[in-house]
Amino acid sequence: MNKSILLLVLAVLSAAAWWLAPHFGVAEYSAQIHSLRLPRVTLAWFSGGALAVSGLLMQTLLRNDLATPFTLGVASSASFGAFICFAFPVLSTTIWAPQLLGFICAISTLLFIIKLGTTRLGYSGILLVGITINFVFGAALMIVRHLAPPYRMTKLEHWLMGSIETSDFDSSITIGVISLLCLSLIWLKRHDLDQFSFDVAVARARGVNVAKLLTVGLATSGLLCAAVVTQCGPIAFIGLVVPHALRPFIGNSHRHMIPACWLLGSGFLALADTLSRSLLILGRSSDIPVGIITALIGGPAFLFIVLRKSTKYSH
Amino acid sequence: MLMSLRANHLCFAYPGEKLILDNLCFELVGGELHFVVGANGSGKSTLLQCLSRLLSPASGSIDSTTRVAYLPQTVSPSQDFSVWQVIELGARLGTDCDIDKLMLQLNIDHLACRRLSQLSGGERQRVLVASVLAEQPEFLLLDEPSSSLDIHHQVELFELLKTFCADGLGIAVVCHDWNIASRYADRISIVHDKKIMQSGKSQDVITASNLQHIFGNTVSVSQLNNFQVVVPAHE
Repeated sequence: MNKSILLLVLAVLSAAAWWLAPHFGVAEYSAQIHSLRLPRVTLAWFSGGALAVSGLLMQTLLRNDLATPFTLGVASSASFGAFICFAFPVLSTTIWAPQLLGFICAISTLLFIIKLGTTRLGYSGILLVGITINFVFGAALMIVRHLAPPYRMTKLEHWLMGSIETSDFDSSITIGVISLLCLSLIWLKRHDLDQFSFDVAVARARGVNVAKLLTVGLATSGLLCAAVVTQCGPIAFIGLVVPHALRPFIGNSHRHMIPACWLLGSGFLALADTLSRSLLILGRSSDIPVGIITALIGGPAFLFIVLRKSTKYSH
Repeated sequence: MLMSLRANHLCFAYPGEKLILDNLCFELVGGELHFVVGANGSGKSTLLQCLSRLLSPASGSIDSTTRVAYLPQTVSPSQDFSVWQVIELGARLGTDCDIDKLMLQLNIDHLACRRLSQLSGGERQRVLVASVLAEQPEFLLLDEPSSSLDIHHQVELFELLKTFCADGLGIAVVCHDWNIASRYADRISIVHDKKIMQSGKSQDVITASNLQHIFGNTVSVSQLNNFQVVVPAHE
Protein backbone atom coordinates (compact mmCIF):
# COMPACT_ATOMS: atom_id res chain seq x y z
CA MET A 1 0.00 0.00 0.00
CA ASN A 2 1.17 3.53 -0.74
CA LYS A 3 2.87 5.03 2.31
CA SER A 4 0.89 8.26 2.12
CA ILE A 5 -2.37 6.29 2.21
CA LEU A 6 -1.04 4.28 5.17
CA LEU A 7 -0.22 7.52 6.98
CA LEU A 8 -3.69 8.84 6.24
CA VAL A 9 -5.28 5.64 7.60
CA LEU A 10 -3.12 5.91 10.73
CA ALA A 11 -4.10 9.56 11.16
CA VAL A 12 -7.81 8.74 10.91
CA LEU A 13 -7.51 5.80 13.33
CA SER A 14 -5.46 7.83 15.81
CA ALA A 15 -7.88 10.76 15.72
CA ALA A 16 -10.80 8.34 16.08
CA ALA A 17 -9.13 6.73 19.11
CA TRP A 18 -8.73 10.17 20.73
CA TRP A 19 -12.31 11.25 20.04
CA LEU A 20 -14.10 7.98 20.73
CA ALA A 21 -12.10 6.76 23.75
CA PRO A 22 -13.89 9.02 26.28
CA HIS A 23 -17.25 7.47 25.24
CA PHE A 24 -16.10 3.89 25.76
CA GLY A 25 -17.99 2.00 28.44
CA VAL A 26 -20.68 4.66 28.76
CA ALA A 27 -24.22 3.45 28.08
CA GLU A 28 -25.51 6.87 27.10
CA TYR A 29 -23.66 9.78 25.63
CA SER A 30 -23.01 12.37 28.27
CA ALA A 31 -21.31 15.68 27.58
CA GLN A 32 -20.20 15.78 31.21
CA ILE A 33 -18.45 12.39 31.06
CA HIS A 34 -16.89 13.39 27.77
CA SER A 35 -15.53 16.63 29.18
CA LEU A 36 -14.20 14.84 32.26
CA ARG A 37 -12.50 12.08 30.34
CA LEU A 38 -11.23 14.08 27.40
CA PRO A 39 -8.26 15.62 29.31
CA ARG A 40 -7.12 12.16 30.39
CA VAL A 41 -7.42 10.69 26.88
CA THR A 42 -5.66 13.75 25.44
CA LEU A 43 -2.77 13.30 27.89
CA ALA A 44 -2.55 9.61 26.91
CA TRP A 45 -2.67 10.56 23.21
CA PHE A 46 0.20 13.06 23.46
CA SER A 47 2.25 10.82 25.76
CA GLY A 48 1.96 7.79 23.47
CA GLY A 49 3.10 9.79 20.46
CA ALA A 50 6.02 11.32 22.36
CA LEU A 51 7.22 7.93 23.67
CA ALA A 52 6.99 6.27 20.24
CA VAL A 53 8.99 9.04 18.50
CA SER A 54 11.48 9.03 21.38
CA GLY A 55 11.97 5.27 20.89
CA LEU A 56 12.41 5.66 17.14
CA LEU A 57 15.13 8.26 17.69
CA MET A 58 16.95 6.10 20.22
CA GLN A 59 16.93 3.08 17.89
CA THR A 60 18.26 5.17 15.01
CA LEU A 61 20.90 7.12 16.92
CA LEU A 62 22.25 4.22 18.97
CA ARG A 63 22.00 1.93 15.91
CA ASN A 64 20.43 -0.68 18.15
CA ASP A 65 17.03 -2.33 17.73
CA LEU A 66 16.67 -2.82 21.48
CA ALA A 67 17.09 0.84 22.40
CA THR A 68 14.05 2.47 24.04
CA PRO A 69 13.34 5.89 25.55
CA PHE A 70 14.39 4.37 28.87
CA THR A 71 17.75 3.08 27.61
CA LEU A 72 19.79 6.16 28.47
CA GLY A 73 18.58 6.34 32.05
CA VAL A 74 16.82 9.65 31.38
CA ALA A 75 13.48 8.12 32.35
CA SER A 76 14.79 6.65 35.60
CA SER A 77 16.41 9.96 36.58
CA ALA A 78 13.15 11.80 35.78
CA SER A 79 11.26 9.18 37.80
CA PHE A 80 13.65 9.68 40.69
CA GLY A 81 13.17 13.45 40.71
CA ALA A 82 9.39 13.24 40.54
CA PHE A 83 9.25 10.32 42.98
CA ILE A 84 11.14 12.24 45.70
CA CYS A 85 8.47 14.95 45.62
CA PHE A 86 5.65 12.42 45.71
CA ALA A 87 7.29 10.53 48.59
CA PHE A 88 8.10 13.57 50.72
CA PRO A 89 5.33 16.17 50.41
CA VAL A 90 7.55 18.70 52.22
CA LEU A 91 9.48 19.05 48.95
CA SER A 92 6.33 19.75 46.98
CA THR A 93 6.28 23.48 47.51
CA THR A 94 4.16 23.92 44.37
CA ILE A 95 1.86 21.62 42.46
CA TRP A 96 4.48 21.53 39.69
CA ALA A 97 7.35 20.49 41.99
CA PRO A 98 7.45 16.76 40.96
CA GLN A 99 7.47 17.65 37.27
CA LEU A 100 10.06 20.37 37.80
CA LEU A 101 12.46 18.24 39.85
CA GLY A 102 11.95 15.30 37.48
CA PHE A 103 12.82 17.55 34.56
CA ILE A 104 15.91 18.93 36.28
CA CYS A 105 17.17 15.40 36.99
CA ALA A 106 16.42 14.29 33.40
CA ILE A 107 18.13 17.30 31.82
CA SER A 108 21.22 16.88 34.05
CA THR A 109 21.48 13.20 33.07
CA LEU A 110 20.97 14.04 29.43
CA LEU A 111 23.69 16.71 29.42
CA PHE A 112 26.07 14.28 31.13
CA ILE A 113 25.40 11.57 28.53
CA ILE A 114 25.63 13.94 25.57
CA LYS A 115 28.90 15.36 26.88
CA LEU A 116 30.36 11.87 27.29
CA GLY A 117 28.78 10.46 24.16
CA THR A 118 29.95 13.08 21.71
CA THR A 119 33.46 13.34 23.07
CA ARG A 120 34.78 10.00 24.22
CA LEU A 121 32.33 7.17 23.71
CA GLY A 122 31.02 5.22 20.76
CA TYR A 123 27.43 4.07 20.38
CA SER A 124 27.93 0.97 22.54
CA GLY A 125 29.64 3.20 25.13
CA ILE A 126 26.61 5.52 25.29
CA LEU A 127 24.42 2.45 25.73
CA LEU A 128 26.58 1.11 28.58
CA VAL A 129 26.59 4.48 30.36
CA GLY A 130 22.80 4.61 29.98
CA ILE A 131 22.36 1.15 31.47
CA THR A 132 24.64 2.09 34.38
CA ILE A 133 22.69 5.31 35.04
CA ASN A 134 19.49 3.26 34.93
CA PHE A 135 20.81 0.96 37.67
CA VAL A 136 22.08 3.82 39.82
CA PHE A 137 18.80 5.74 39.70
CA GLY A 138 16.89 2.47 40.13
CA ALA A 139 18.77 1.90 43.39
CA ALA A 140 18.23 5.53 44.45
CA LEU A 141 14.52 5.09 43.79
CA MET A 142 14.49 2.03 46.05
CA ILE A 143 16.11 4.03 48.85
CA VAL A 144 13.47 6.77 48.55
CA ARG A 145 10.77 4.11 48.48
CA HIS A 146 12.23 2.53 51.62
CA LEU A 147 12.32 5.86 53.46
CA ALA A 148 8.95 7.19 52.25
CA PRO A 149 6.07 7.35 54.75
CA PRO A 150 3.93 4.18 54.42
CA TYR A 151 0.72 6.14 53.82
CA ARG A 152 2.19 7.52 50.56
CA MET A 153 3.01 4.07 49.20
CA THR A 154 -0.24 3.32 47.32
CA LYS A 155 -0.03 6.50 45.27
CA LEU A 156 3.71 5.99 44.70
CA GLU A 157 3.29 2.38 43.55
CA HIS A 158 0.49 3.43 41.20
CA TRP A 159 2.64 6.18 39.68
CA LEU A 160 5.69 3.92 39.35
CA MET A 161 3.69 1.48 37.23
CA GLY A 162 2.82 4.29 34.81
CA SER A 163 -0.59 5.83 35.22
CA ILE A 164 -2.53 8.59 33.51
CA GLU A 165 -4.63 10.62 35.89
CA THR A 166 -5.67 14.15 35.18
CA SER A 167 -8.80 16.24 35.19
CA ASP A 168 -7.55 19.23 33.22
CA PHE A 169 -5.62 19.98 30.06
CA ASP A 170 -2.52 21.52 31.74
CA SER A 171 -0.37 18.37 31.51
CA SER A 172 -1.48 17.74 27.92
CA ILE A 173 -0.56 21.28 26.94
CA THR A 174 2.90 20.88 28.50
CA ILE A 175 3.61 17.62 26.67
CA GLY A 176 1.95 18.96 23.51
CA VAL A 177 4.15 22.08 23.38
CA ILE A 178 7.35 20.12 24.14
CA SER A 179 6.39 17.52 21.51
CA LEU A 180 5.70 20.16 18.88
CA LEU A 181 9.11 21.76 19.46
CA CYS A 182 10.92 18.42 19.47
CA LEU A 183 9.11 17.13 16.38
CA SER A 184 9.84 20.33 14.45
CA LEU A 185 13.51 20.04 15.35
CA ILE A 186 13.79 16.37 14.41
CA TRP A 187 11.77 16.85 11.22
CA LEU A 188 14.54 19.17 10.00
CA LYS A 189 17.02 16.34 10.59
CA ARG A 190 15.02 13.59 8.84
CA HIS A 191 17.38 13.27 5.85
CA ASP A 192 20.44 13.18 8.12
CA LEU A 193 18.79 10.44 10.21
CA ASP A 194 18.20 8.36 7.05
CA GLN A 195 21.84 8.67 5.96
CA PHE A 196 23.03 7.95 9.51
CA SER A 197 20.96 4.79 9.83
CA PHE A 198 22.39 3.57 6.50
CA ASP A 199 26.06 3.96 7.45
CA VAL A 200 27.95 6.38 9.68
CA ALA A 201 31.03 6.79 7.47
CA VAL A 202 28.94 7.19 4.31
CA ALA A 203 26.74 9.71 6.13
CA ARG A 204 29.77 11.75 7.15
CA ALA A 205 31.14 11.63 3.61
CA ARG A 206 27.74 12.89 2.44
CA GLY A 207 28.05 15.93 4.66
CA VAL A 208 26.14 14.86 7.77
CA ASN A 209 27.52 16.42 10.96
CA VAL A 210 27.31 13.27 13.07
CA ALA A 211 28.27 14.86 16.40
CA LYS A 212 25.60 17.56 15.98
CA LEU A 213 23.01 15.01 14.89
CA LEU A 214 23.74 12.88 17.98
CA THR A 215 23.48 15.90 20.27
CA VAL A 216 20.21 17.16 18.79
CA GLY A 217 18.72 13.67 18.47
CA LEU A 218 19.58 12.45 21.97
CA ALA A 219 18.44 15.74 23.50
CA THR A 220 15.13 15.57 21.62
CA SER A 221 14.50 11.95 22.52
CA GLY A 222 15.42 12.57 26.17
CA LEU A 223 13.17 15.64 26.40
CA LEU A 224 10.18 13.79 24.94
CA CYS A 225 10.72 10.91 27.34
CA ALA A 226 11.27 13.15 30.39
CA ALA A 227 8.14 15.18 29.58
CA VAL A 228 6.01 12.02 29.66
CA VAL A 229 7.68 10.32 32.62
CA THR A 230 7.37 13.35 34.89
CA GLN A 231 3.63 13.52 34.12
CA CYS A 232 2.62 9.86 33.90
CA GLY A 233 5.45 7.77 35.34
CA PRO A 234 7.41 5.20 33.33
CA ILE A 235 5.12 3.67 30.66
CA ALA A 236 6.82 0.66 29.15
CA PHE A 237 7.10 -0.89 25.70
CA ILE A 238 5.55 1.82 23.48
CA GLY A 239 8.95 3.24 22.47
CA LEU A 240 10.22 -0.25 21.71
CA VAL A 241 7.24 -1.84 19.96
CA VAL A 242 5.79 0.96 17.82
CA PRO A 243 8.84 1.58 15.56
CA HIS A 244 9.31 -2.18 15.10
CA ALA A 245 5.64 -2.71 14.27
CA LEU A 246 5.73 0.03 11.60
CA ARG A 247 9.02 -0.68 9.81
CA PRO A 248 7.75 -3.62 7.69
CA PHE A 249 4.99 -1.40 6.26
CA ILE A 250 6.52 2.08 6.33
CA GLY A 251 10.21 1.30 5.67
CA ASN A 252 13.21 3.13 7.07
CA SER A 253 12.60 6.65 5.79
CA HIS A 254 12.20 9.05 8.71
CA ARG A 255 9.99 11.27 6.54
CA HIS A 256 7.32 8.61 6.97
CA MET A 257 8.45 6.95 10.20
CA ILE A 258 8.31 10.09 12.40
CA PRO A 259 4.62 10.89 11.74
CA ALA A 260 3.66 7.20 11.61
CA CYS A 261 5.27 6.48 15.01
CA TRP A 262 3.55 9.52 16.50
CA LEU A 263 0.13 8.47 15.19
CA LEU A 264 0.35 4.78 16.14
CA GLY A 265 1.90 5.54 19.55
CA SER A 266 -0.74 8.11 20.42
CA GLY A 267 -3.64 5.91 19.30
CA PHE A 268 -2.19 2.89 21.07
CA LEU A 269 -1.78 4.64 24.45
CA ALA A 270 -5.23 6.28 24.19
CA LEU A 271 -6.77 2.83 23.67
CA ALA A 272 -4.58 1.18 26.35
CA ASP A 273 -5.69 3.84 28.84
CA THR A 274 -9.34 3.26 27.90
CA LEU A 275 -8.82 -0.45 28.45
CA SER A 276 -7.10 0.15 31.80
CA ARG A 277 -10.04 2.11 33.21
CA SER A 278 -12.73 -0.04 31.58
CA LEU A 279 -11.48 -3.51 32.48
CA LEU A 280 -13.65 -5.32 34.97
CA ILE A 281 -11.66 -7.53 37.29
CA LEU A 282 -13.66 -9.71 39.67
CA GLY A 283 -16.78 -7.83 38.70
CA ARG A 284 -15.57 -4.35 39.53
CA SER A 285 -13.80 -1.55 37.75
CA SER A 286 -10.08 -1.96 38.23
CA ASP A 287 -8.47 1.23 36.86
CA ILE A 288 -5.15 -0.57 36.78
CA PRO A 289 -2.07 1.52 35.77
CA VAL A 290 -1.80 1.88 32.01
CA GLY A 291 1.89 0.84 32.14
CA ILE A 292 0.73 -2.69 32.98
CA ILE A 293 -1.62 -2.77 29.99
CA THR A 294 1.05 -1.50 27.55
CA ALA A 295 3.51 -4.10 28.84
CA LEU A 296 0.89 -6.87 28.62
CA ILE A 297 0.02 -5.97 25.01
CA GLY A 298 3.45 -4.71 23.96
CA GLY A 299 5.42 -7.71 25.25
CA PRO A 300 3.67 -10.41 23.19
CA ALA A 301 3.39 -8.02 20.22
CA PHE A 302 7.15 -7.44 20.27
CA LEU A 303 7.76 -11.19 20.57
CA PHE A 304 5.51 -11.76 17.54
CA ILE A 305 7.39 -9.14 15.49
CA VAL A 306 10.78 -10.61 16.43
CA LEU A 307 9.70 -14.19 15.64
CA ARG A 308 8.14 -13.11 12.33
CA LYS A 309 11.33 -11.29 11.39
CA SER A 310 13.58 -14.23 12.29
CA THR A 311 11.33 -16.69 10.40
CA LYS A 312 11.41 -14.44 7.34
CA TYR A 313 15.21 -14.32 7.25
CA SER A 314 15.83 -17.96 8.13
CA HIS A 315 14.31 -19.09 4.78
CA MET B 1 41.21 21.43 -18.80
CA LEU B 2 40.82 18.19 -16.85
CA MET B 3 39.52 18.46 -13.31
CA SER B 4 41.59 16.95 -10.55
CA LEU B 5 41.44 16.04 -6.89
CA ARG B 6 44.78 16.80 -5.33
CA ALA B 7 46.42 16.17 -1.97
CA ASN B 8 49.34 18.51 -1.28
CA HIS B 9 52.03 17.56 1.25
CA LEU B 10 49.56 15.75 3.44
CA CYS B 11 50.50 14.79 7.01
CA PHE B 12 48.12 12.83 9.18
CA ALA B 13 48.30 11.17 12.60
CA TYR B 14 45.62 10.05 15.05
CA PRO B 15 45.87 11.99 18.36
CA GLY B 16 48.87 10.87 20.39
CA GLU B 17 50.07 8.43 17.72
CA LYS B 18 52.79 8.33 15.07
CA LEU B 19 52.32 9.86 11.61
CA ILE B 20 50.47 7.62 9.16
CA LEU B 21 50.93 9.93 6.19
CA ASP B 22 53.98 12.17 6.00
CA ASN B 23 54.28 14.87 3.36
CA LEU B 24 52.27 12.79 0.88
CA CYS B 25 51.27 14.19 -2.51
CA PHE B 26 48.59 12.57 -4.66
CA GLU B 27 46.55 13.51 -7.70
CA LEU B 28 43.41 11.95 -9.14
CA VAL B 29 42.49 13.22 -12.61
CA GLY B 30 38.99 13.16 -14.10
CA GLY B 31 38.38 10.16 -16.36
CA GLU B 32 41.07 7.90 -14.90
CA LEU B 33 40.85 4.67 -12.93
CA HIS B 34 43.58 5.15 -10.37
CA PHE B 35 44.59 2.22 -8.16
CA VAL B 36 46.18 2.84 -4.75
CA VAL B 37 48.18 -0.20 -3.65
CA GLY B 38 50.56 -1.01 -0.82
CA ALA B 39 51.14 -3.22 2.18
CA ASN B 40 48.63 -3.57 5.02
CA GLY B 41 48.70 -0.56 7.33
CA SER B 42 50.59 1.60 4.84
CA GLY B 43 47.94 4.36 4.97
CA LYS B 44 45.92 3.71 1.77
CA SER B 45 42.51 3.92 3.48
CA THR B 46 43.65 6.93 5.54
CA LEU B 47 44.59 8.69 2.30
CA LEU B 48 41.10 8.05 0.88
CA GLN B 49 39.48 9.27 4.10
CA CYS B 50 41.53 12.47 3.95
CA LEU B 51 40.56 12.97 0.30
CA SER B 52 36.88 12.53 1.18
CA ARG B 53 37.36 14.93 4.13
CA LEU B 54 36.35 12.34 6.70
CA LEU B 55 39.71 12.98 8.35
CA SER B 56 41.35 16.35 8.73
CA PRO B 57 45.08 16.34 7.98
CA ALA B 58 47.51 17.75 10.53
CA SER B 59 49.10 19.73 7.71
CA GLY B 60 48.87 19.96 3.96
CA SER B 61 45.75 20.54 1.93
CA ILE B 62 43.17 18.93 -0.33
CA ASP B 63 42.47 20.92 -3.48
CA SER B 64 39.06 20.30 -4.92
CA THR B 65 35.88 22.25 -5.34
CA THR B 66 34.11 19.33 -6.99
CA ARG B 67 31.77 16.72 -5.58
CA VAL B 68 33.56 13.67 -4.13
CA ALA B 69 31.77 10.44 -3.17
CA TYR B 70 33.28 7.85 -0.87
CA LEU B 71 32.45 4.19 -0.30
CA PRO B 72 34.14 2.61 2.75
CA GLN B 73 35.36 -0.97 2.82
CA THR B 74 32.46 -2.10 5.01
CA VAL B 75 29.01 -0.57 4.99
CA SER B 76 26.88 -1.49 8.01
CA PRO B 77 23.24 -0.39 7.75
CA SER B 78 21.49 -0.42 11.12
CA GLN B 79 18.22 -1.37 9.38
CA ASP B 80 17.53 -3.62 6.43
CA PHE B 81 17.19 -1.19 3.51
CA SER B 82 15.74 -2.10 0.13
CA VAL B 83 17.96 -1.75 -2.94
CA TRP B 84 15.88 1.15 -4.24
CA GLN B 85 16.14 2.96 -0.87
CA VAL B 86 19.94 2.56 -0.82
CA ILE B 87 20.28 4.15 -4.24
CA GLU B 88 17.71 6.84 -3.45
CA LEU B 89 19.78 7.87 -0.40
CA GLY B 90 22.68 8.62 -2.73
CA ALA B 91 20.42 10.29 -5.30
CA ARG B 92 19.30 12.85 -2.70
CA LEU B 93 22.70 14.51 -3.12
CA GLY B 94 22.59 14.47 -6.91
CA THR B 95 20.79 17.11 -8.94
CA ASP B 96 18.73 15.03 -11.35
CA CYS B 97 19.73 11.40 -10.96
CA ASP B 98 17.54 8.95 -12.87
CA ILE B 99 17.53 5.99 -10.47
CA ASP B 100 15.82 3.60 -12.87
CA LYS B 101 18.30 4.36 -15.65
CA LEU B 102 21.25 3.93 -13.27
CA MET B 103 19.92 0.58 -12.05
CA LEU B 104 19.49 -0.57 -15.64
CA GLN B 105 23.04 0.54 -16.42
CA LEU B 106 24.40 -1.50 -13.51
CA ASN B 107 22.14 -4.45 -14.30
CA ILE B 108 20.45 -4.34 -10.90
CA ASP B 109 17.00 -3.19 -12.01
CA HIS B 110 15.55 -6.63 -11.17
CA LEU B 111 16.75 -6.22 -7.55
CA ALA B 112 14.90 -2.95 -6.82
CA CYS B 113 12.49 -4.42 -4.25
CA ARG B 114 14.96 -6.85 -2.68
CA ARG B 115 16.50 -6.17 0.73
CA LEU B 116 20.25 -5.52 1.01
CA SER B 117 20.59 -8.52 3.36
CA GLN B 118 19.12 -10.83 0.71
CA LEU B 119 21.76 -10.06 -1.94
CA SER B 120 24.89 -11.97 -2.87
CA GLY B 121 28.28 -10.30 -2.32
CA GLY B 122 28.52 -9.26 -5.98
CA GLU B 123 25.00 -7.87 -6.14
CA ARG B 124 25.47 -6.00 -2.86
CA GLN B 125 28.68 -4.39 -4.06
CA ARG B 126 27.04 -3.27 -7.30
CA VAL B 127 24.16 -1.75 -5.33
CA LEU B 128 26.55 0.12 -3.04
CA VAL B 129 28.50 1.42 -6.03
CA ALA B 130 25.18 2.49 -7.58
CA SER B 131 24.37 4.39 -4.39
CA VAL B 132 27.57 6.46 -4.57
CA LEU B 133 27.23 6.91 -8.33
CA ALA B 134 23.73 8.27 -7.72
CA GLU B 135 25.38 11.18 -5.90
CA GLN B 136 26.62 12.20 -9.37
CA PRO B 137 30.14 12.92 -8.16
CA GLU B 138 33.04 14.12 -10.26
CA PHE B 139 35.36 11.86 -8.24
CA LEU B 140 34.66 8.49 -6.64
CA LEU B 141 36.79 6.98 -3.87
CA LEU B 142 36.36 3.23 -3.31
CA ASP B 143 38.04 1.45 -0.41
CA GLU B 144 38.66 -2.20 -1.31
CA PRO B 145 35.40 -2.61 -3.24
CA SER B 146 36.40 -6.07 -4.51
CA SER B 147 37.72 -7.60 -1.28
CA SER B 148 34.76 -9.96 -0.83
CA LEU B 149 34.17 -10.73 -4.51
CA ASP B 150 35.13 -13.77 -6.58
CA ILE B 151 37.15 -13.23 -9.74
CA HIS B 152 34.04 -13.16 -11.97
CA HIS B 153 32.42 -10.40 -9.92
CA GLN B 154 35.71 -8.51 -9.64
CA VAL B 155 36.02 -8.44 -13.43
CA GLU B 156 32.38 -7.39 -13.74
CA LEU B 157 32.85 -4.56 -11.23
CA PHE B 158 36.00 -3.12 -12.78
CA GLU B 159 34.64 -3.39 -16.34
CA LEU B 160 31.70 -1.37 -15.08
CA LEU B 161 33.92 1.23 -13.41
CA LYS B 162 35.85 1.58 -16.66
CA THR B 163 32.68 2.58 -18.48
CA PHE B 164 32.04 5.36 -15.97
CA CYS B 165 35.64 6.57 -16.31
CA ALA B 166 35.07 6.81 -20.04
CA ASP B 167 32.31 9.31 -19.23
CA GLY B 168 34.78 11.51 -17.32
CA LEU B 169 34.44 10.21 -13.76
CA GLY B 170 37.73 10.00 -11.84
CA ILE B 171 37.89 6.90 -9.64
CA ALA B 172 40.48 6.04 -6.99
CA VAL B 173 40.40 2.45 -5.79
CA VAL B 174 42.27 1.02 -2.82
CA CYS B 175 43.06 -2.56 -3.77
CA HIS B 176 45.26 -5.43 -2.59
CA ASP B 177 45.05 -7.34 -5.86
CA TRP B 178 48.04 -6.20 -7.90
CA ASN B 179 46.94 -8.30 -10.90
CA ILE B 180 43.55 -6.58 -11.06
CA ALA B 181 45.36 -3.25 -10.72
CA SER B 182 47.74 -4.21 -13.53
CA ARG B 183 44.83 -5.17 -15.80
CA TYR B 184 42.50 -2.22 -15.21
CA ALA B 185 44.50 0.75 -13.89
CA ASP B 186 45.12 3.86 -15.94
CA ARG B 187 47.51 4.80 -13.17
CA ILE B 188 48.83 3.04 -10.06
CA SER B 189 50.19 4.71 -6.92
CA ILE B 190 52.14 2.71 -4.35
CA VAL B 191 51.80 3.93 -0.77
CA HIS B 192 54.85 2.98 1.24
CA ASP B 193 56.66 4.45 4.21
CA LYS B 194 53.92 7.11 4.69
CA LYS B 195 54.39 8.51 1.18
CA ILE B 196 53.58 7.78 -2.44
CA MET B 197 56.60 5.67 -3.37
CA GLN B 198 55.86 5.74 -7.08
CA SER B 199 52.98 6.69 -9.32
CA GLY B 200 52.53 5.87 -13.00
CA LYS B 201 51.54 3.27 -15.60
CA SER B 202 51.37 -0.31 -14.38
CA GLN B 203 54.44 -1.45 -16.37
CA ASP B 204 56.50 1.30 -14.69
CA VAL B 205 55.18 0.73 -11.18
CA ILE B 206 54.72 -3.02 -10.87
CA THR B 207 58.36 -3.96 -11.02
CA ALA B 208 60.42 -6.61 -9.27
CA SER B 209 62.46 -3.99 -7.45
CA ASN B 210 59.39 -2.15 -6.13
CA LEU B 211 57.77 -5.37 -4.94
CA GLN B 212 60.98 -6.52 -3.29
CA HIS B 213 61.25 -3.17 -1.54
CA ILE B 214 57.74 -3.54 -0.13
CA PHE B 215 57.33 -7.29 0.43
CA GLY B 216 60.90 -8.64 0.39
CA ASN B 217 61.53 -11.84 -1.56
CA THR B 218 58.03 -13.25 -1.14
CA VAL B 219 56.66 -12.25 -4.58
CA SER B 220 57.91 -11.99 -8.12
CA VAL B 221 56.67 -10.37 -11.32
CA SER B 222 56.01 -12.14 -14.62
CA GLN B 223 54.71 -10.96 -17.96
CA LEU B 224 51.49 -12.37 -19.42
CA ASN B 225 49.72 -10.96 -22.51
CA ASN B 226 51.42 -7.58 -22.03
CA PHE B 227 50.31 -7.32 -18.39
CA GLN B 228 52.42 -7.65 -15.27
CA VAL B 229 51.38 -10.60 -13.14
CA VAL B 230 52.39 -10.77 -9.49
CA VAL B 231 52.86 -14.30 -8.19
CA PRO B 232 54.37 -15.86 -5.05
CA ALA B 233 58.11 -16.30 -5.44
CA HIS B 234 59.62 -19.80 -5.81
CA GLU B 235 61.84 -21.10 -3.03
